[in-house]
Amino acid sequence: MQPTLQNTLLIIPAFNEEASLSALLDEIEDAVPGMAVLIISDGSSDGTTRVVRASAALLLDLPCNLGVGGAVQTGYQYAFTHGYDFAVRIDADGQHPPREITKLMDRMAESSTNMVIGSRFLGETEYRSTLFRSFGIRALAAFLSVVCRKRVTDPTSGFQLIDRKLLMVFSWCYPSEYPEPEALALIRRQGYECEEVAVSFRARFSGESTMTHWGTLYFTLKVFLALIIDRARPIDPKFACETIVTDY
Amino acid sequence: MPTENEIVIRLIEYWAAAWVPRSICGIVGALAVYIAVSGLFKSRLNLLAAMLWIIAAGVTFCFAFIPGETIRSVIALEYYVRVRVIIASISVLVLLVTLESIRHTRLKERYAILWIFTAFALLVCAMAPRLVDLLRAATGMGYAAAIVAVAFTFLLFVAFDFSISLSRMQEKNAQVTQRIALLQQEIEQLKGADAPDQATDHRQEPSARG
Repeated sequence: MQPTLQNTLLIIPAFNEEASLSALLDEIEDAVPGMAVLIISDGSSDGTTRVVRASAALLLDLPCNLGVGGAVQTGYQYAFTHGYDFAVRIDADGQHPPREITKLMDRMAESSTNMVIGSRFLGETEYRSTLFRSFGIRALAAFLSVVCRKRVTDPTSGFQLIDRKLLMVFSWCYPSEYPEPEALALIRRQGYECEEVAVSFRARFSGESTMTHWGTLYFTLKVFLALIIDRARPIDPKFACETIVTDY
Repeated sequence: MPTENEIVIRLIEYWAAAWVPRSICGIVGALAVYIAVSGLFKSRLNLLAAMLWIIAAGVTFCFAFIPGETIRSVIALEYYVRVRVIIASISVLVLLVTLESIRHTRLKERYAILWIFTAFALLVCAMAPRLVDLLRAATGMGYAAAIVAVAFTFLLFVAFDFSISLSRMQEKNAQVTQRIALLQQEIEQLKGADAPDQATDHRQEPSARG
């Protein structure tokens, strides 16, 4: 099974992103024409839903804010029940350029892995980070690489393409606190494969990063703790890679 | 070095001489009593809220006009008797609050049992000091720190139980939210399908976009 424009759903969680969404939607139309786009408004209080309704994209309007994990999971639930074979997720703030989506799809077609992650730090990229943040992310990446027994360079990247097996898994259980690193650790424990592809991120269209200097250290610490706690939880054999059934 | 009782008596004398604050206290107390009683009659307040109001108002009102002799006789009572009276009134209050909350079905039975049990335990402790003595003799917990440790552990368990319930509820809340969004999308899709010029199923007809 290879990802095509028809069997892949593009999922964009958006919380108060009216400023950047319409430009992003235009870019998506150029980069991956014909791919279905689903925007999940995570309890937005600005004109996000209005912008989406005016476009051709699909809209899921969450009545209250669930955080990015809950929003993305809703998108996966939609993709799974509507019979999509793949789902790719990008951020609404414009950090993930839509023209890079095909890179992820190509890799998925080549290697038939379960998840492809777009990484900022793999290969040559123009992405520049602050000292604190790159230290935090490096520490996290090293830890996650050990936990996953697989080299991970960008554990917090939300630029991901997953297949139908993982759509099933994530529809049922998706971590809500720090979805990207926690989900990665979870799927590796259940025996799924993941790969990284070098993509170039860019500066966000609008809005500020939620993380300040000390906030980054604090964030890293909390993710460490969350990963350790996740590790202590039993995994559900129903969702293991060998035994999972993806017929609905 | 004055004893505790001497300090209290001196304070009473100061208070008896302070006419202005006493009158203010009396007026505020009378007002609060009026509000509580009128609220109860016009059924703006439920019984429990009105009772709490009347207790508060009565305390304020009494504070203004209470004669020094009464306080002197109260403090002449034994220390343990006073503590027992306070504990008993607290447990009665807890019982009343619990029962009233159950009546208005604001409290799940699971928690109601916990609080009723707590109130009864307090009441028993206040009514039967011999029982407390027996417990103390049996367990050797005669000092305040041990009592505090036991009470603290109990509260900790209660708080822990609450945080578990809260986590579970958050998860259910998220599931409900997600389902609402998915269903709303489906409804809009169905409505759109009724209108002939709006093709909305992008999966079957990708060319319909844009």
